[in-house]
Amino acid sequence: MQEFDFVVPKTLAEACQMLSDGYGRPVAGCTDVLPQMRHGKLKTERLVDLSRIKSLAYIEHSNGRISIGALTTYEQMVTDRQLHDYAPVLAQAAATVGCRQTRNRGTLGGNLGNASPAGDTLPPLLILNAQVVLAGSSGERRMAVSDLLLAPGKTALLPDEIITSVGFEALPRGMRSLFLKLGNRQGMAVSVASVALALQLDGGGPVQDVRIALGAVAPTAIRCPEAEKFLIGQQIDPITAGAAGRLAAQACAPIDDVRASAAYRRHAIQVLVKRGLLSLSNDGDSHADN
Amino acid sequence: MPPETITIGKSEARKDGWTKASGQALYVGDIPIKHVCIGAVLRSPHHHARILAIDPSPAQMIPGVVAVITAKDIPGEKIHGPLVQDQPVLAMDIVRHMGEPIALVVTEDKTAAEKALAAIQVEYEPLPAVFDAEKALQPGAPQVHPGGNLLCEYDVSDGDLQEGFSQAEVILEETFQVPRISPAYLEAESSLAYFDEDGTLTVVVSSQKPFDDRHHIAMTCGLQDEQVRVKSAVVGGAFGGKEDSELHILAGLAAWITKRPVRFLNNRWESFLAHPKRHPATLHYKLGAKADGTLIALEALVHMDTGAYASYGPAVGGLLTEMVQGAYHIPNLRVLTRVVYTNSPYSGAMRGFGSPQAHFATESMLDILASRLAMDPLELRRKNILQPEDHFFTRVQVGDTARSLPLILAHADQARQRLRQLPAAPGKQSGVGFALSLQSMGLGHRVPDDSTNRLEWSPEGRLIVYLGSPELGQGMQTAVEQIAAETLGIPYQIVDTIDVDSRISPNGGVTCASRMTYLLGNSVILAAHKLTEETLNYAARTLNLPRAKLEYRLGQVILPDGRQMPVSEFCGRAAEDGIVLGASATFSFPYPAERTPEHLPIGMPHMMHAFGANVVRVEVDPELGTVEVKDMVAIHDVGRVINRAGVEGQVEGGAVMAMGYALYEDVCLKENQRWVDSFTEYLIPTARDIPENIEVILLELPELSGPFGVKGIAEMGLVPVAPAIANAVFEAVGVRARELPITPEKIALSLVEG
Ligand SMILES: Cc1cc2nc3c(=O)[nH]c(=O)nc-3n(C[C@H](O)[C@H](O)[C@H](O)COP(=O)(O)OP(=O)(O)OC[C@H]3O[C@@H](n4cnc5c(N)ncnc54)[C@H](O)[C@@H]3O)c2cc1C
Repeated sequence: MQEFDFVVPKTLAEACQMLSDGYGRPVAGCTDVLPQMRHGKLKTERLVDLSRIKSLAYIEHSNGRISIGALTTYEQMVTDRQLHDYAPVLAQAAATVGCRQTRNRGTLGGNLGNASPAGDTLPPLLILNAQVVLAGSSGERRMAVSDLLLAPGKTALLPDEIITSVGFEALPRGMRSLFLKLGNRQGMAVSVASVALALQLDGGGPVQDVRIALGAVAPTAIRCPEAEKFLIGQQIDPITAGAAGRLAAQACAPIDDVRASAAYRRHAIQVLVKRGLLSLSNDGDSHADN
Repeated sequence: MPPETITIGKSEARKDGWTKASGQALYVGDIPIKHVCIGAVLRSPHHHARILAIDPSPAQMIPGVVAVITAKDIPGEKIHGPLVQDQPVLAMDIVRHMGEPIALVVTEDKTAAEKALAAIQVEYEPLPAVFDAEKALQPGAPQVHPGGNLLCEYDVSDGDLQEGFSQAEVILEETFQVPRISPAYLEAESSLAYFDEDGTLTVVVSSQKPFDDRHHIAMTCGLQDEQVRVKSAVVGGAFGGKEDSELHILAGLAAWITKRPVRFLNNRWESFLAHPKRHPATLHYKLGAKADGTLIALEALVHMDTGAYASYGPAVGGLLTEMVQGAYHIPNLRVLTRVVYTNSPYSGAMRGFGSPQAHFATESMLDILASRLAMDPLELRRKNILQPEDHFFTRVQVGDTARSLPLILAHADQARQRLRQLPAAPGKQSGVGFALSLQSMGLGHRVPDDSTNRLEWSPEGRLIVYLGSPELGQGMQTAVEQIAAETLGIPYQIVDTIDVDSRISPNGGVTCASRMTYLLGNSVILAAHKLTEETLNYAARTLNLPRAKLEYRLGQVILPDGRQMPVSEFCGRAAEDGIVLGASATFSFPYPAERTPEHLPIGMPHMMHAFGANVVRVEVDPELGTVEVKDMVAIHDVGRVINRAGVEGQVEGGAVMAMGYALYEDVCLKENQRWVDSFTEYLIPTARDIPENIEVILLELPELSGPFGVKGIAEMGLVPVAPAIANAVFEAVGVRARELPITPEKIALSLVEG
């Protein structure tokens, strides 16, 4: 592994300053960065460790808005009661990440910064219409998560910018949500395909609102406007759910790799979307498993 | 019921348990040593290339670099290999696989090592490469070695195939494919070389065969074996993958040239690319049977990809050939096995040694036949199992061990019925499958197959066992200590084992082939009898009594008047007299001439066998194709249980390892022409993937030549699992997996298409 400097700012301002020359890289849990550097996939001269900026690790809720500090770990998300109430889909996704050790170190900001198509929090953040808050030497700005994610490993961040938090509206009352993940084994697996869904029915009847996002089947996590549009006003049954699944499968642009072929990924998306919709329309509780 | 014992059959606590669990055990990477240098290996980035030039000089200038070593610096033999001398210590003119060692750097720190590796200039001319055994045999294929790509071939038959197939009422033909897999031990290969107090080149190895390592190190350095000392470190798993000396040779060489202590620790990717794997193979079967299910003829054509170097490929090919028959009587049988060089990472020994490949094909084939004949797969097997008076197709009589088969089938049937009652989770489909297995113990005829070990009384009366073969973590030492304790009638707690050190240990041979408890147990029993004799002789001399008047019982010398004196009293006196009360013995695996056919290739036949079975219940997601192994029952005849927890651990560990073979693992070439070489892409089962309960049923039909009746168990637990899973998947969703691993994708897409 190449040699690098490791600097530890105590405040956000200090961190921005340490990144301002464009030669550094912010890190939090390092669960992505260190393996990437070991394999020569990432080169950098300076790691700017954000993990001492404790003020960036929080989950806040006020007036129906949730704000999560970028340094919040998966374990914090999994154990936060409010998150389970207001955005269960995100808490569920956090629970599927890696193993206990990964969840103790890995952060939400890191999952966003890494911009892997298979990042498990990304489809939930897309259906929550989440926004990120960025801090840089030239000040603060906000952007939608969908605008942040450009391509595998690529974000719209400037070299000196840090994600400080992620914010979104709590899901409306009565809107159920669900995260489904398919990996190649039960424990500690990278997603081969994942789906985040939120569904609101009008009474017990037709779909009033629906949000669908997919992971690991396109260069970034994506929303599925076609499938969503199709479902509005429909009754959820195996036929409509299956049709939505097919629309979702059409929306994705998967690749062949050692984990799975593109054909299987498409197939899996279709199954997961169909199942997710049926499960959300059937029972009162949303639950995560595949 | 076996008679009451002191320790045999009990789950005695392992003596290495505490140090391992508490992190105190010293693996090669942990051994503290002053001023130790980093050893690192420059490895080929090409699958096949000619080396036009190597210029180490830019690396030599880097601060912290002690030496850069290439093939021309080697003082002794430049080629090695456990069976076939075909593997350069460091590449000379050609590299034949990605990861092949080209140069060594010895540096004072890690950073210098990385810089030095990057600075060595190598000019390559890439050559065309081949990665498939069958393609490698076609005309015009890239040639891996000058002698052609066919490393060796076995053609063994019995009966008359043509006649057999002419009587058959059903003939099936199928092709099976099994992947290359990694032993995936926690501790990758490692080696530490230094000069001991008296200046002897000493190499501490994580190895299954320190004495052979010593020989290869000595040859490479141009030394006599006795000029090199090897010691066994605590070994973090081996599974056959640590029977190759490659890294130990490099460590010994680096220390010998630089005269500095040097430690080599393979990275995980180095372990994937440059140490042996389980052979991938293609097995083509043609099976003939009567309409009532009686097996009548089998012809198998097997191609094994041994990769760039032979390693143990020829021996694995031999055993695979023998194991094709499985637990069945098949009167007309021919197996043609070709072991082929390619530019893949090399394959060699791995737990099961050819048997898992053969069993996947044979046990899948039987279920395919059963389904074709609309027969119960268990009844089909019952009809065809070997009987004691039958002969294997190697002409070896099966013998008493076959008496276990009806019992195994009965247990399997019960397990099957019980597991079939269990409901599937909503949306899942449940299937129960099983497979029988055959595994041999020992190295095979005309391969030196013996072990020498030594027992001594310490001055305070503890028993010291000098084993000549290393413990790998499997619990062999515990079993041997229990056998020694039982034989001498002393508590297990006062027996200690000394790890292998060539300075003081006898040469006990390679730890391998499910033979250690049998072999070491027998040699320790022989030594114990000699030690008793030695002890009584000494007692007679010191007490001034005739030897014939003394007896030994349960750690006591019994005097003529019935009084007892503990052995410890004599040990102390002997020590004062400068005498060590000790005895060595050698036990050789029996290959009695009258029972051992001569015409077979070397390493054939194996004489000792045991049978087993595995029953599994899987739940398959019929849309996504995911397979979960929910329940497992393993049934094995081990001859005699020495340490119950140890045997159960071997069976469970083997079963879990085989789940990886069945469902996840494949060291394959990716589209970017690189191998899968990390645990990010190479998945092995985690605790969340394995069944909560693996029931282990142990049968004890004694092997008469075994210590207390022991057969062997280290490999067997693994062998029937992959075909049992494939058969269960078939029962669940009707998809027949002819290829491992059985990925969700293969199942889902064939359900969608089918
Ligand atoms: C064993 C293992 C299992 C894993 N399993 C999963 C899994 O199941 N699902 C999954 O999605 N991921 C998984 N991962 C990947 C990883 O754990 C997650 O992506 C995690 O969220 C990364 O967070 P981190 O804090 O460790 O990020 P780091 O490694 O510290 O950083 C990752 C990237 O984000 C950037 N970054 C980090 N913080 C910020 C910030 N505040 N502002 C701007 N940029 C930032 C870094 O510059 C870097 O590019 C796994 C990793 C491992 C090692």
